[in-house]
Amino acid sequence: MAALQRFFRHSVLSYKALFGWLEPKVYLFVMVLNPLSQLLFFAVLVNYVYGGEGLAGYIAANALLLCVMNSVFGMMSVITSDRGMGTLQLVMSTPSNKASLFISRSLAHVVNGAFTAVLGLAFGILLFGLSIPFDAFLSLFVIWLVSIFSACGLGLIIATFCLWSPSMHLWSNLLASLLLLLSGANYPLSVMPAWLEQLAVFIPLTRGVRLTKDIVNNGDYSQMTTLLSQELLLGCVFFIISLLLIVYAEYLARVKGTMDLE
Amino acid sequence: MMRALLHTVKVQMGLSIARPMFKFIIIVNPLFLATLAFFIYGSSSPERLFHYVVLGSGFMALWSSIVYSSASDVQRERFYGTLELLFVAPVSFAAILIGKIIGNMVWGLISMGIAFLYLALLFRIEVPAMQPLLFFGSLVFVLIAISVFSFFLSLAFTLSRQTNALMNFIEYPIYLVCGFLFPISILPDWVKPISYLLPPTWAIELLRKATEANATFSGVAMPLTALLALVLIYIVFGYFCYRAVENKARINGKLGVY
Repeated sequence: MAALQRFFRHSVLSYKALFGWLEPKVYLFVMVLNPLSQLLFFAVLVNYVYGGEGLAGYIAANALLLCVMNSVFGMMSVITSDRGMGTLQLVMSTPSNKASLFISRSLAHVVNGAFTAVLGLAFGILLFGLSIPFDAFLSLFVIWLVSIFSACGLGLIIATFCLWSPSMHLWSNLLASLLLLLSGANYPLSVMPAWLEQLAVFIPLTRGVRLTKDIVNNGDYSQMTTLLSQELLLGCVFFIISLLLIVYAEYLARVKGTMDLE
Repeated sequence: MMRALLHTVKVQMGLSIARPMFKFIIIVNPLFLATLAFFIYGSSSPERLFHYVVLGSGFMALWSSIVYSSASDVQRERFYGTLELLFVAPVSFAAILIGKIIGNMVWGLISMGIAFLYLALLFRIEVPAMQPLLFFGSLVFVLIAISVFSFFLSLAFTLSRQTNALMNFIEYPIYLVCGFLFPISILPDWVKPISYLLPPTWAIELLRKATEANATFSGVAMPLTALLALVLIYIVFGYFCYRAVENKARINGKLGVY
């Protein structure tokens, strides 16, 4: 029980300390206003191009995409903030279990990502006067949590790069752009070339976006179990890879002396 | 003065592109933006594709290069601890800032070019027949207008303590309000006055008008006049912001502190 309490306490504390929570104005700009302006931009764009067809699905899918702020940039801060403050060596040399340490740090970002996505959806519903069936909300919430968990797994993989690479802004922006492009939030996946469509299968959020559109536009739940299980499996694989990578990156950092590289 | 300006352009171009993030903004980001715009507009008419995919994504690339360079360059010098040195150098700080903006604008233009070549070669987007003088004349004027706006933004951001937050925030609102990927006529009426007060709105409108079939000088007169008027207004704004930064630096002595 004490271990569980410690797990959650660490999650909350690391989130507060490492994610700019100490500066609410910055948080408001970066984590609330920026995602909402992104949602509004894509909502207006797809509404214009597709003449309003399937608008609710596109807006809900874009709301899910807002979690990228947490799953990529937030997850990156899980490691880079410590490096920036000069405490990364202490964290890496602590005797506590690294898997539990980094998973607890990721938890707050999964929750925050879900919060941003829900906020985005509420904003879209109010602004565009959309009607989404009430019973769809619970399903959407489960789908989003699993999708965001999966995206955070990939985010943590990229975050481990910071132990040997100084170019974290490059990696994080590359991943954020890839998620935006391959998830198919703003167009049907069929418009992409076949090889990109194949690549999208291994990218988190693709299934979440598809399920979101299916449920919101057509009330179609038929693929939910299959796609959700695949997304959960993908997320678990990403987290396992990231934990293995942390061990390897830690080794590289020790050998190359790059742990505090800025 | 001219030598210092040209040297600043050269140094700025080297310093900017040395940053991995800026390399991403100039080289990779235009490819993402162009692909995204093409996938959304995929089955539209050639003219619509050119106006909203080629010009739109090219302009988004240009804007990103401004947001992640000119708008934050003063803040970056502050972080490096070199802002005070630049400020007291015998060459006017304004000349150095203009040199930085020109350097970044050259990179922005290259970024636009990358987006254009990528779309033309890979997605075979048709380039409409256009009058070279009208198009290139408009493009040069657009670059001057965006440079003046960048000068104002750079100083306005210097006055703020939240440069990083603002830098991360202004990208999408400008895409939205200035109609980079769609006409501003679809925006709500209360948003349009804001659009009209921002030079990027008229800049992209000018390029669209200049690349229309049978474009004429009288056809581009309206966006050209509006852009010219805004350039003059933003020169005045820029001047006052410059004075405000200078006064703050001399009276409060806080130039390099926050």
